[in-house]
This record gives sequence, structure tokens and C-alpha cells, in this order.
Amino acid sequence: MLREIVLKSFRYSLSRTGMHYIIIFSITSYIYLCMYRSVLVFIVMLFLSILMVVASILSDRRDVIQFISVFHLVGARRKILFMTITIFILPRFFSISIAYSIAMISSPSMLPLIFSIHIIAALILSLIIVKGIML
Amino acid sequence: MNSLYPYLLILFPTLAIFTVVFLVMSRYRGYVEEEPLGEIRTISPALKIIKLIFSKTITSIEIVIIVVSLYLLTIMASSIASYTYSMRTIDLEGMPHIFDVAGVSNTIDDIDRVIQARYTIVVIQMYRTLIFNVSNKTLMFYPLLIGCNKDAELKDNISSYVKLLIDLCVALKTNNLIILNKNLGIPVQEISLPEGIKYTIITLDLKPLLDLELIPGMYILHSIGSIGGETIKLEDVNRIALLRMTQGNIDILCKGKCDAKIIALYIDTKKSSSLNNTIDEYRNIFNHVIVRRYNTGMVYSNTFIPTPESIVGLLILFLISIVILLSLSGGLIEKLSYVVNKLLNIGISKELYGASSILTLTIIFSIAAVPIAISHYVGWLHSFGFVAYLIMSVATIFILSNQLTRKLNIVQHLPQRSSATYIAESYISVENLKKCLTQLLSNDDFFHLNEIEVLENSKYFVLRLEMVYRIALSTIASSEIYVESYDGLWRYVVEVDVWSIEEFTAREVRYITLLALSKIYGGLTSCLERSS
Repeated sequence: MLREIVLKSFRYSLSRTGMHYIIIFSITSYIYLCMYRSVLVFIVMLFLSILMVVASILSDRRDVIQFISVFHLVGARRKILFMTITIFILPRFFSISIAYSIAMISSPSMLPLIFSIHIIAALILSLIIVKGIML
Repeated sequence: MNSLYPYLLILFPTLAIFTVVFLVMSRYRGYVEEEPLGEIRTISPALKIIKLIFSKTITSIEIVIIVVSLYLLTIMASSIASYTYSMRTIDLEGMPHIFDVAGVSNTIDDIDRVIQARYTIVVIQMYRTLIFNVSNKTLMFYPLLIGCNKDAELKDNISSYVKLLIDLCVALKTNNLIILNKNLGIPVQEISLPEGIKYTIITLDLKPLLDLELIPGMYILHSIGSIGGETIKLEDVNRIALLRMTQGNIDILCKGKCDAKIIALYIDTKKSSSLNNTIDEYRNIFNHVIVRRYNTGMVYSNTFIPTPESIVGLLILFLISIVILLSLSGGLIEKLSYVVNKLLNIGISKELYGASSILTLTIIFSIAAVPIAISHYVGWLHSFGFVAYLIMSVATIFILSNQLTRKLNIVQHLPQRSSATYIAESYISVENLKKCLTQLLSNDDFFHLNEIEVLENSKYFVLRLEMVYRIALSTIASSEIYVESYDGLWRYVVEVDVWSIEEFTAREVRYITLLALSKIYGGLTSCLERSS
């Protein structure tokens, strides 16, 4: 059951329009990071990636609300809801993280920073969504 | 890390202002002001609408994210900015070799810096005439100041024109000398300038100067521009007065402010790295720098143009801003359309709504531009960043307002009820039909057959099917098949109704309905054909 929920929310996340925007964003920011290698650009890009994920969730706002209401209807627990929302958000952060990592492959010390910031951001965002503040 | 502080200084005050506005607007959103009796104020309804749309827009999280992301993109655009001199190559074949590097400045103010730089010969064209009265005749001259570097060594194969210029420099040993053309036939030995300073006249043949060109179209003598590719220059060599280039002469001839053109020529003797240093030095001083390498000349102008790399960077940033904008516009439109639909009901025209949405967005982005403009003025942000912000914000206003107004023109389609009829001669019992349909639909890719039942009436049978749409989360297609008989013919009417907890667009619902209908209709026909 849990496996199915995970797979379903993963697939659901991939099929929404927000994910398409994220993919375009990842490609453009990859090109950008390859062209300009400076600390300032990198830090600003990290902030921008978090904003982009928020924007993509807001573009899928209706779908996320329905997703949550379906879970409420079937009586899912808050923990499960939190987990599914995190799984819903994570593919978006991962596609950006992978693009950034490939772009910054020459400086491997940056890679843990990219992934940890994105995972923390995903957890915070899903907490905010579950609390119902953002949507 | 220190370079980050200015950017943080831009971001934080603006974010603080936005947060305060956001909180205040949210606090007083539902507040109704009761005006005191007896005091009637007339407020334009248009202003109220703008106020309403403005408060709705600025309190939305989407606009905050758009503004913050525009700031971040502006900072990035500023950090990647790089410029280059505009450059073009010209052919100098057949032209006398009179310089390796030449600098041309269009103002006399640069003279101090020119004198301190490396040069071989400096010529100043003064565009203020000198007027003398010699034996009841008024003579008018255009002053040309010339100065040479005494230490400059010259190569053997140097052009005769350079020798001529140097000879002129040598002839002007002292300050109070003036060279005029030999053919002028001036009867006096001395003339006095308006200030009363007397100058001794030397006469020399100045005719070769007339055709002395640096590059095609640029002469050593005065020229005032070009018409149709032809340079208009001084044609009468008798109008030339050559003087020594000294600060005193410049002050006398160019009292206050005057138009002048400084031409500095540098001839390299050592063929060493000093040439490159001179080029760099000249680029900082002159408006145009001409570098001669064999028979080609490169003209550098100090009009800065962005490098192709920074243009590509700007385009990528523009693309990123569009992606963020598109993903956010949907939510913003949804929030506004709630208000707008109500406004349209009370008779507000689409044009007024469109205009007020553009005005609102323009006000928001203009306010947001203030910190950017200040930091550009102070020098934290490069002008390239400012330009990038302007381009991106104009695109944002255009796209958002376009989408906001376009949304209104969409006509809502009425939901379509779909049904299909099949008439057959053969009869199949309802129970068999149920079995056959269950068998066909149970392994379907799109639908899961949830329920199938037979209802009976005195006149007809009804087969009711309930199918769950597999791809969505909670969408059900329920359908009824009515079975009636008409004088030995059997009529099957299939009706499909789609029900969902999800918010689909009309097109998606129609698609699912037609898909369900085709599945059931196809199943029905194949079952009937199989039995006959």
C-alpha cells in the first residue's frame, strides 16, 4: 500500500505541468552555471531554484489541493500526507540538483551542499503545504 | 563574501517593505469603513477598481515571488556584465605609413592626458578662426597646433610625411612663431593676436599637408564632417596657420571653450611590447584609436558594446524569468478572476479591467525598480543589471496583463451529454450481454470495471456500469445501456456520465467521456456480433 502511494505520488508529480517548467529551468540553469563560474552566481542560483520549486508547486496548486483532499477523504494520516507531499516535491528538487551537480562537477565540495540544501528545502516546503499555509 | 553585502542591502529593505504591505493589506482586507454622515465624498469607480485589483495583486504570494526572483536575476545579470570596445577593420593599402598607433579625441579637455602619454607627433585642429588685419585686408586663418616628442627615434623607412611634420616642429623653435603658406604673399613680418602678443611669421610650403590622410576620410587638416561618404575638409592651404603646441598657445587660441580635435600619432621604433602598452594607454584617453598593422588598420571606438557572452547570459536569464512567470501566472489569474467575474457582473467593461491590470502591474514593478535604480546610481549594480531588470519587468507586465485579459475571452463550453444508439435484429439475453461485457471490460487499460448490474422494467432492461478511470485519482464513468424492442428490432442506447472529485477542464472531461463511450459501445457491438 505504502509502495503504491509512493509510486503514485512520484508519477503524479512527474506528470504535472510544474514539472515541465522545472525541467526547462534545470536545463537553462545548467547552461548558465557552465558559462559563469562564480560563487555569487552559484549562491543566487540556489535561492532561485528554491523559488522555482515554490513557483512550480503554485502552478500545480489545484492538483496538489485535490491530491491532499483525496488523501483526507480516504482518511490518510498526517504522517503519510507529509511523506507523500515530500515525495511529490523531491523529484523537482532532484532534477535541479542533478543539473547543478553536473554543472559544478569540477568542484565536488559543492555537491553535498546542493543536495542538503534542496532536501531541507523540500522538507520545509512539504511541512508548510501540509499545514495549509501556502495553498 | 564581501561582494554579497551590497546585494543583501538591496534585497532586505525591499523584502521588508513588501512584507509590511502584505501584512497591512491582509489585516484590513475585510474592513468596511463607515463614513461620517453629512460628508459626501465622490471617489471615481475606476479608482476603486484599480485599488481593488492592486490590493488583490500585491497581497498574492505569486507577485512577491516574481519580484524576488527578478531581483535575483538582476543581481546575476549585473555580475556577468562585460563590455568590449566596438571595433572595425579598414584597408590601408597605398596609404603612407605615418603612424603605428593613432588616437583621435574630439575635445580639448583631454590635452593634459595626451601630453603625458607616449606620442611622436600631436596635432590639434582648432575650429575657431583667427582674424588678422594686414594692410587693410582681413585675413582669416584656421589654427593648427603641432608638437613633437624630441626623444622620439625614427626608423629609416619612415614616410616623407612624417619628416615633413617633424620639420615643421623643428621650424617652430619658440612660442611666438607662426607658419603660414609660402604662396600667401603676406607683406609683413609680424602679426599680433587679439591679446596683443606679437608673432613672427615664417613662410613655408604647406601644400603637402593638404592631402595628408591618416585613414581614408580622416585628414590632418581641419575637416567638418562628411556628406555621402565624401569628407568636407579645408581645401585652401592659405587659410592654415601653424603654431607650436604649448599650453600658452592653447589658452590664447581657445579662450574659454572651443571646438578642437586632437590627433596623436605614435610611431613604434623598437617593435616591442611597448606598442601594446601604448594601445591600452590610448584606449583610455581617446575617443577613437587606430592601430596599423602592415596594410590593415583597426579602429577601436570607445562606444562600449556588451560581449556576445553576456548577451547569451542575458537571454538565458530572460528565459528563466519567463519560466518562473509562466508557472506563477496561473495562480495569480485564478485569484484575480474571482474578483473580475464579480466586477464583470456589475457592468465593468473588459477594457477598463485590462487597463487597470496593466496599471497595477506597472505601479508594482516601478516601485520595485526603485532599489535597483538607487543601487545602480550608487554603483553596487552594473548598468547591465538595470537594463536586464527593465527588459524582464516589461516582459512580465506584458505577459501577465495579456494572460489576465485573454482569460476573459474564453467562452465556457456547456457540458456535453454523450450517448450512442445501436439497432440490431439479433437478440442476446441481458444476462449473456452482462457476462460478455464483464469479460471484455475487466482487463481494460483505461478503466477498471467496478460494478455492473441489470435493472428490469416492464418495458425495457437497463444495464448499469460503473467504471473507474485508472489514470486519475478519483474519476468515475457511470453509464447506462437501455435495451428496448421495436417490432422485432432491438434498440440499444448507451449513455455515459463522468463524475470526478478532481477539477478537470471541460476538454479533459469530454475526452474521458468519449473514451468510456467508445469502450462500452465497442464492447456492445462485438458482443452482439459474436452472438449472431
